[in-house]
Amino acid sequence: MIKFVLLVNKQGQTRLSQYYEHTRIDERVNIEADIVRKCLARNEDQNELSILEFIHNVVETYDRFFDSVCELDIMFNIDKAHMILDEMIINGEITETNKDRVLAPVAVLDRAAGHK
Amino acid sequence: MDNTIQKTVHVLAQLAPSSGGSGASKSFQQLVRSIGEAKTKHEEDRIMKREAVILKEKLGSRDTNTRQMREYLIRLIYCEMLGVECSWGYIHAVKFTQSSNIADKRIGYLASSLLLHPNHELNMLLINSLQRDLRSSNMLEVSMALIIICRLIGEEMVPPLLPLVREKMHHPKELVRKKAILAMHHFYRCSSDSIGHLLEEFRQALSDPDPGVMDAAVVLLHDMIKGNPSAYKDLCPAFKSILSQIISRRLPQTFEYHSVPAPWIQIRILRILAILGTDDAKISEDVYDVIEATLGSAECTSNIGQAITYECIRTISSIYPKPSLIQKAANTISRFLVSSSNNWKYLGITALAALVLIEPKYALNHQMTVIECLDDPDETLKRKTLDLLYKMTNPSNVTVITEKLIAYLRKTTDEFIKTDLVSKITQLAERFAPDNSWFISTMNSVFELGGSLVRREVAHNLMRLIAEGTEDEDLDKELRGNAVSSYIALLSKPQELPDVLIKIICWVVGEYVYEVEDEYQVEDVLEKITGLLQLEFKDIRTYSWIINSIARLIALIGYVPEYLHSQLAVYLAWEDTDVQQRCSELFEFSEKLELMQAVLPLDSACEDLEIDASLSFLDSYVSEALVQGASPYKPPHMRVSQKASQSPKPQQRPSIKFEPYATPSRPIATSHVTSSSPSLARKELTDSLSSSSSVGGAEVTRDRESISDESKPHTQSTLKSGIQSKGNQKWSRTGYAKAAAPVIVDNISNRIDDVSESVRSSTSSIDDIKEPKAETAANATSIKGSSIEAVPQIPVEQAKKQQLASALFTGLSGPAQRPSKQRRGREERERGSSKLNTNANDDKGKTQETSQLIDLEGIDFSTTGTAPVAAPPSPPPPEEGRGGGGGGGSLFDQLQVLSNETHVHEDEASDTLLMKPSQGGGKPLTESSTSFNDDLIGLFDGSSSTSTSLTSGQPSLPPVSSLPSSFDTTTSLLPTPSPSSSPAPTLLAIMDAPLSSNTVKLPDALNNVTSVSGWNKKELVSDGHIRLSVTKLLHPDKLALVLTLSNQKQAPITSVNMSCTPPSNTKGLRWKDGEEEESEEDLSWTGDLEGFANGTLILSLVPKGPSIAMNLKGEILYTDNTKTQRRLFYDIALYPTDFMRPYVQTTPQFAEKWGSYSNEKKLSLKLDSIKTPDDLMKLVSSRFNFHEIQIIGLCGVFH
Repeated sequence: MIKFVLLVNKQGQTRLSQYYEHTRIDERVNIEADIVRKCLARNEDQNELSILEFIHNVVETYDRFFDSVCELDIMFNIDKAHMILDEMIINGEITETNKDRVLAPVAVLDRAAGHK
Repeated sequence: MDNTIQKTVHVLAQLAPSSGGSGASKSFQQLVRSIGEAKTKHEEDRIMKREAVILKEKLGSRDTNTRQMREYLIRLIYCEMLGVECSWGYIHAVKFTQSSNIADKRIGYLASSLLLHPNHELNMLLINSLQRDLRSSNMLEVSMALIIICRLIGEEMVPPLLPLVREKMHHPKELVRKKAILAMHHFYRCSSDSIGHLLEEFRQALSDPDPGVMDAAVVLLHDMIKGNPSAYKDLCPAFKSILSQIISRRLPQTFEYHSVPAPWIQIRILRILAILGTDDAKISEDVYDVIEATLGSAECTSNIGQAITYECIRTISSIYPKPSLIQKAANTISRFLVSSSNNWKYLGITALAALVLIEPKYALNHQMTVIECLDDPDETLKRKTLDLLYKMTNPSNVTVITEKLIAYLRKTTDEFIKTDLVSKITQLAERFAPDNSWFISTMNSVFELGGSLVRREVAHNLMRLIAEGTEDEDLDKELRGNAVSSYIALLSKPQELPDVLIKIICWVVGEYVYEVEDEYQVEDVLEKITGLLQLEFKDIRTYSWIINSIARLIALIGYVPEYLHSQLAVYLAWEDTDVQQRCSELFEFSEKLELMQAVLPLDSACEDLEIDASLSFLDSYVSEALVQGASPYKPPHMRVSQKASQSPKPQQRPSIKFEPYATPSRPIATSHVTSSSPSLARKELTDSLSSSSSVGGAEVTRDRESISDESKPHTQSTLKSGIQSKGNQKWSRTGYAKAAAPVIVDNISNRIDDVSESVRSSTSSIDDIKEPKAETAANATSIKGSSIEAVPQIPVEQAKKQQLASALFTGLSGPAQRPSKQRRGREERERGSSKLNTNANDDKGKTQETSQLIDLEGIDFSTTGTAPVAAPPSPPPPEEGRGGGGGGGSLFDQLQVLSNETHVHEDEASDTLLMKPSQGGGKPLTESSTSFNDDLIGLFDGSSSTSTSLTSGQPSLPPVSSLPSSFDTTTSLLPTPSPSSSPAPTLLAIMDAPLSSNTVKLPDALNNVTSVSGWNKKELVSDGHIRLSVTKLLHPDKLALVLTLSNQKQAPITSVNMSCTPPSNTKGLRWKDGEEEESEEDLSWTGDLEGFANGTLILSLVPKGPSIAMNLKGEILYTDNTKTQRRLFYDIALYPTDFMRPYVQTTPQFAEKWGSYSNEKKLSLKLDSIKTPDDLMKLVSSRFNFHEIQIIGLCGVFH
């Protein structure tokens, strides 16, 4: 299973993180510091290429929601970014890759927030 | 870049306060901007800490509206994400989940899920809102509740939510159905049996019309199948049909990714098929076609298509093999490998590694590609290639592949990869080494480059290999010569060597430097070795190895160079006692060089050692002590009865307890001796022996001829019976020995395993006394981890790739070659040792070894359960002579019989032992001889009393008269002895039922008969197998004895004969059939006893005449489960009071005999002072000791 997702910018600064297994905050900081090249933790038996493609899929989904996503989009809308990820990965498993379905609930919530 | 700037402007414009909408506050923008601009992590930290302070204040204030709150929570998420803990704010997130606005609620849930974790105490507060939202009619609320359940619900919170979630599995909206199944998946991970009853619903979900719901069911079932594949074999057709529907594009187009239909679902189903098809030819048969179809449909140029292809190959290599499919997979791999994309090459190498495990020949076709990948600048690719090489190693290409791995080991700095490589190289070298010298040089490189990462057993194997060599003398000579030369060469730059290598060098050079005397001056080598003392080591025990090596070299050259004294003096007072010990030994020996040379002979590491098992060198002590008036040794069973009458002398000195506490219970009548005594006694013996044996060790043990078999039977029986008397503790050390001993399988131990058991026990007694000094091999606890460039790098010539390829891939096509004959012997050893390694290479193994040591320590001091004398067919004794490291360490290693595997753990062992290193130098014997005898007696006193007191704590033997109501439960837990198994009619299977109660097992005449105080189920004797107790019953006209013999173990004992001889002044009678009749016959009970069964002999003793001291003597003979015949003696002290009964008399009877009870006593009284009858009465009372009854007139009645 996927253990965590971490978005970092080109300077290696954390821009989003979700952990699917509880990790203490100090450990998180260490892990995030350690990971410079690796973006996704995987088991030995992972199909790495499929994970790589899934990351692409995530980025494509962000792209569609934010209209070609950039770092600042994520930073200002970190809540949306999290909600999109929450639809795509549950229990550390890839559970939704259909972009329409991922974005539908997030869009509804976005509108609900706007009407307030 | 332009894009980013535009975007930034756009975003900022959106966020400007004037734009309204979802605009964020200025301070949030400020925060995001400053985080974005932070150049260093330090700066970022500062910003976030400041932010946390602000947030704490703002969240605490009352007047925050929901929009502000939403923003604060997002800022809180930022703080935690960037490493500032804000646990004070969690409660606000939890509270916010109660919001009525759905967007606010989502933020509350989001923050909770990011800030809390499944075991957080605040989760309890979420249950309510989760339950409410699950019931909501708004599918978004239900959906977010389900997401949060997946993130935050721990095992104990599953029950209140499970029914609600189950309902949602049938929700009209597919989004909710899907998440409900995923929540079930989470419940399954929390506790696998929480949703077992819902399996049928999950199966139905597999055929849900919505692909998303179906996918969720696949996720859940995948996990369930991983846990227990065989239970779900029937689902195979369902998965097969889903997969074929996907590849025939039956799903909506939105499920396609880069025009591949639902690729991740495909991959997941392929994995499930791989699990189901593993080792199952039938299922594999069923799925061949669908896998082939998937492989065909995935053939496209997109990455995701290749990911599916790769998954197909993995499935093909894990299910039951089908040649045509494997061929297809191999073809696909070739396509990967020739690709220009490193990602695909990587995939190809990984897939090839999976495939060579089932069919090595496919590697052949790709040799050139593999070689190229090795030289690729891409680290990950290179690493995978090394992994592939490791998997395809065989005896013919091992040298080339190991070279490659070592070259990589030299370059890499990544600790993780290093550890992995070190273990891989070690494994390959141990499995496939073509010859010993190659093995040694390879291992040297490994120790050099990754010394701290090597398992310590590996160092032992290496030293043992050098020590034992092969059958061929010349080869061995050459091997050792080579080894020594290479090590002496390494000594020129010792500061770069890790500790473990230094130890190996010291040992090998010390043992075998004479092999190279032509090339090197031993004096020079000694100087170099001495130079090592200047270095600092992580493991301070390394100094022991160095000093030891110095001692050997001095013995070789025959004099002590001047400089040594000053160099070594500091180690006499070193912090580590082992180092001190060795150093003082060295100094003592330097006075007597001839003795030293005798103790440290050349090439003796593999010699077997003879052990004076009977401790006959102590004979002079014993006789001396006897002359000085010490009481002679008595076996414990003789002492039991004595001790009953004596009050025990408690040992006052405190000491560490080595024994587990007995389970609390009412003690059986025997008095306890303070439980500290056995360990104390052991300590005393250890002390006194260690002082003597350091001297004795030099005289007695080196002089092998003097160690003869004329062991004194006295001493031997001492040990034996000391052992026999042990109670069988629940936590018996022998239990450990049984577990640990079979681990040690070694050719050397085979040579010694005819050493008798008793020898073994006493041997170990010597041994553990020696233990502190015998610190030898393998203190590879912490070793320097620096990597060193010492061995010249093997050049990789690009031009010779082809050659290299052919070298690498030899042996892959044909059957694997057998290693050369010379190697075979080694391999066999290796197998033995690797067996050992599997046990010893983790901490568990370590404990096992350690406990074995402790066990040996305990055996002769009779605190353990069954003794070696009676031990079941023995595993090979853990003895190994001085093989390898075992012999390296001690100056006294002639006494060593423990395997060197045991020494591996001497660190631990020596902690449990008490050392007196300062006595090691050879102090006169007399110092401790005075106390020695007392110590011995104390020792055995202690041991026997421990056995009795500990037996009382036996769980299977509830104490007498305690809790009669628990009797039933106790018996039901134990194997109940069947009544038919009682051969003698008197065998009464009474399981410790209180005798005073109305049990039918006693003859009626003996019911309600009081027992002699202190003699109710009084324990007489016991050993590891049986226990005999007696109850004295005061029958009105005789003494009844109920002798209960109980089998303490599960295993049956046979041919039990319990007989007794009553004292001559009584007549012994036996109760027969539990009836009141007495029949005079031979007073014995014979039969067999099942596990935990009892046998009872009831006797009556009728006194024939009075006697002051009476003893009923008896003997028990039986055969235990190992067919060893054993004998136990017992005696029961009988007192005149046992036969006395109250005499009842009526007044007429008394009057009748009045005349016959005459007694006369004359006494002259001075009657001057007597004036009244009263005065007279008083006088008479006081002088005659009469009791005044009544005065009638002038008559006085006295009693």
